[in-house]
Amino acid sequence: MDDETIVALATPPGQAGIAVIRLSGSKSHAIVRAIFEPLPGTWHGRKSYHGFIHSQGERVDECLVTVFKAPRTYCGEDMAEISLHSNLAIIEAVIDLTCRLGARPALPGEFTYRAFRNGKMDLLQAEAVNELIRANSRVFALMEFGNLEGRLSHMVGSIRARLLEMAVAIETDIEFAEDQRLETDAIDPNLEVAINDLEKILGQSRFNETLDQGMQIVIAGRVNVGKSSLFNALLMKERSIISHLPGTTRDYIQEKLHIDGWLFRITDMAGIREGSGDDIENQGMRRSRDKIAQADAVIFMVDASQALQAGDQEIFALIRDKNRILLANKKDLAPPTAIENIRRAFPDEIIHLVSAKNGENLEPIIDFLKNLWRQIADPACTTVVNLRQKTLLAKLLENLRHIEQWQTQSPIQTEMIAEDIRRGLRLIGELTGAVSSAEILQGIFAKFCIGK
Amino acid sequence: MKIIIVGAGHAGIEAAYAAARMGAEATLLTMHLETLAQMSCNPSIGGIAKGHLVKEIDALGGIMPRAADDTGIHFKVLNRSKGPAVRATRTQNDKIAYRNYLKSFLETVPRLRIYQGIASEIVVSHGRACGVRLVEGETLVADAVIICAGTFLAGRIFIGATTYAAGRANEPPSLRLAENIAVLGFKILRLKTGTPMRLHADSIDWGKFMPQPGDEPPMPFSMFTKGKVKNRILCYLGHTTPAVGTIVRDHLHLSPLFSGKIQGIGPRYCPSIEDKIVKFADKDRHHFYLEPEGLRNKEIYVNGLSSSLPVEVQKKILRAIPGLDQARMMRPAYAIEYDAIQPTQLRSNLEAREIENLFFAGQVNGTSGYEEAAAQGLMAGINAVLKTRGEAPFILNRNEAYIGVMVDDIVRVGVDEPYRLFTARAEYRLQLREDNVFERLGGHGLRLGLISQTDFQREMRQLQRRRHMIGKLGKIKGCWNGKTENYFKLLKMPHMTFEKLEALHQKPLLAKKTLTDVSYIEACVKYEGYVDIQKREVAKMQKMQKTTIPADLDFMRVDGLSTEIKQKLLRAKPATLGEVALVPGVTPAAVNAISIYLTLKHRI
Repeated sequence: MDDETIVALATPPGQAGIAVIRLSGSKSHAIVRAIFEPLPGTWHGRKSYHGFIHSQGERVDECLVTVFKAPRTYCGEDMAEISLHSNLAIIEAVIDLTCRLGARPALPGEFTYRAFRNGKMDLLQAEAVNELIRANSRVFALMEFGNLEGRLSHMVGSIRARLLEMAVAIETDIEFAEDQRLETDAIDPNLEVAINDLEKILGQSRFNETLDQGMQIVIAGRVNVGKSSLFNALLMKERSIISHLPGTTRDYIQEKLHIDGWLFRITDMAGIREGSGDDIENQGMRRSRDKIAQADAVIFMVDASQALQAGDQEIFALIRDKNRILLANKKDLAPPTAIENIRRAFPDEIIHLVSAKNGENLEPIIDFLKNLWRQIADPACTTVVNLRQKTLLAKLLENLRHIEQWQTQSPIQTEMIAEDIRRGLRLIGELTGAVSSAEILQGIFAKFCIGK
Repeated sequence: MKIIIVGAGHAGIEAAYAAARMGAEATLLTMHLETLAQMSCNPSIGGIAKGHLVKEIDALGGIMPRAADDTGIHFKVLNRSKGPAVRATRTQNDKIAYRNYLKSFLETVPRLRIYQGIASEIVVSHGRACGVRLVEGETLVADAVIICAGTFLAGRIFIGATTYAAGRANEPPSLRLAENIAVLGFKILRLKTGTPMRLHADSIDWGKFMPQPGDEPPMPFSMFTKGKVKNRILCYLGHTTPAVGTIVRDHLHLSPLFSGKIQGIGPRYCPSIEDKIVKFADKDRHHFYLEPEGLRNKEIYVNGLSSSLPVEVQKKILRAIPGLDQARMMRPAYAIEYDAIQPTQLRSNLEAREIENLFFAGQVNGTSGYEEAAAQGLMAGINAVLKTRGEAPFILNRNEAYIGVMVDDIVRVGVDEPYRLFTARAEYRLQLREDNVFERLGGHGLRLGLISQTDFQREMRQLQRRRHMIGKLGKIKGCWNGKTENYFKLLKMPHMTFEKLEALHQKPLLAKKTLTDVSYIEACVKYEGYVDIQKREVAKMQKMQKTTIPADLDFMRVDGLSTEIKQKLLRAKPATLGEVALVPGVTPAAVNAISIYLTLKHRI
């Protein structure tokens, strides 16, 4: 191995309890041995040793050291991890120490790159690591982890195997059938499983986008019904400018909210008040309508302390086909008949009487939000697909449908089906980074008795 | 300008003819004048992918297609039931007539001298080939040398326990030249091939076999073939019996292939009968063809029964096959092991990287097949002339010709078994057809002086006629299968053919149409969408290939490359990703790794 050994801080820099420095490459064990005391008699892989990092007879820091032996490591080569106190001066000193002993600072993504090139993961998995690092929610992280274990790779791999099998049969038919009187097995035309798998994944990609971006929730309602108070109550911090003057929230404010690992983007809208003379506010309201149109769900609020107004009905008309929850706010100020009046106005809706300001009866809203996710998908069987993968998978799906169509038409031009199969294999090659060329011929010679 | 071609087989002949046509004084050296253009194995030319090669040779003015037509006794277009891209011509040939045709023809070619002699040494001075020394004591001076030694370099024949040095059965091998090539520093491969037994026609019970007639009307290879070609013989199809399997298995220990005596690597696509029986144990019978070797000749070639088993066992095998049980063997089957050079030592013009003006072509480059050899010979002949003239080399792209695919494969990837061309090796198969060979290569042929202005103009008119017809299709409307569309769109439909379109039209669309016309038109219409995608992909790839490699990139630092590849890249100093791919021995995976490395580096 003439590979260089690389070193990098694996945890975010800054003041924290523990920092982890990671080494990968053939010299990583030797380097650790040179700077660690007391040296154990034998180093066992995947076992932590407690001791000190020393330099020129002085102890730099107390630490735990774990060594990992190739090839059963993340990168597929010898690796080591030093857990020490997260102090920038100490970290720099230790990295400097390892570099003097032959390591060099790793390039961004280089650990994953090494794992990829050492065959520990394919391109799809390598991408999953990147996604994992910037994953937004816990659920997303969980699903990415599934990817890392190769769920997507596995699925694409099985499509690849099917196409390869078809390619072998069809190429044999082209090269040898007539010349050699070969009876090639009928090509298994069944692409249904592959097509279903792809459709499922691409269908979920809407879910995946939502997962990545967060569920878009809009709080809608007439001016001064208490939207900003609810927004703040949900976020439990004073993000909105709360004021009792109508039309304070001129545009909109958006915040991320995590509930049980699910990500939401809650938008506090400008109050919708038709016929206002304020131009800036009118623009804000136009944007409100657009936001409602894009939202995954709407929290619709009315003011229980006042009689319903025409504006309430108008706004309700905008959200009629949206997934929604209806809140009657200002519970504390509401006259006893208020709720009845509201129920009568919206006879098909369930109405929750809440007080945003006092944080009363907010649980139904939380349940409503959590339920939204359950309505879209079951994360346990979901695969995360990024945009590049999605584009390629969509092309692959189109390609497989085309092949299927050819098959049902039983055309004369075998070589055209062959062309589509090759294209499918190339697309998969782009997905997984694998290159297949001699593979088909290999398949032919393994499967068929060819020759003069 | 003098060029010496060592070896007068299929490669040597094309090399000498092309060189002479381009104005060089070509000396075609052969050990034995009588075996010039010998078909060492089957009496056949063409086949799938190989037929494509022969047509390409034709468009570049080569002689193989004309010889095959003139001496053809059985003509067939394979894959006729499939689309135009994979249809390919094949002929059965009269071996003696083929030899005679080419010897007589070459004897009349101006500037071409056929000379009997045995090469023992390539004269190299200051890293440049400048002549050939003969065993006879003579030294021939030349500006360029082309080695087309076939299976003769240190050739060794195996039949059972018997083994002897030979270039072909009972012909002496080239031992001194083989040594000389090794001394010059070439990396040598040891390869193996084989040929089946020949039987006496009168000892075969023909009624036991299924006749295989040629096509009617038969189609020639060459656009220069005037007059009609004719089917004169039948081939026959037969099958081995389970008893053959038993005999082979019982005597496997006597096969030098299995006893380990043969070290050379044989072709997977051309296995011996013992290979087939061992590898496909579940099959109780294997097919074979009986192919006459000529009209005035009783030898029958048994296509499918090549073997290295002892002669006695070969006879036992024949006795176990109904119809061959009384067959008299005229020549036994044998295996042959020979030296080839690893072709990654050659540039894309087939010139040795380390020795200028020394070219290699044919089986000596680790390929197999007459057609593969002839195509390389043609390219080496052309390039030897261009090199000595100081002109740019003639290199065909992978999307331009099967010749380009083959040469690129062997010089870039190299070989680990005798290389045979398959259509599957071409990324742009739909564009590399027999029917558009003139469109692809005619211009090159004219520019190089290999086809005449008259011939070029005649073929150009044919091409324009076809193109005109395609243009016309878009302008006529018709109704087919309940759909009213213009003819172009109708012809695009899966089950539509040009013939059906003419029936729909109720009169011929194209007067005096040939099979080539129909193929060309159908291909252009039906493949349109695919070819568009492929052209876009080619453009994309060319863009990727232009990705520059920073001058200060230290390949030793790029992970994922083998030390060997790193060193090659350090020496070659490629400036772009495209050039990386051209460095011999560099795999697509390595190109990928560099591409990824550049991307990662970019992110810093």
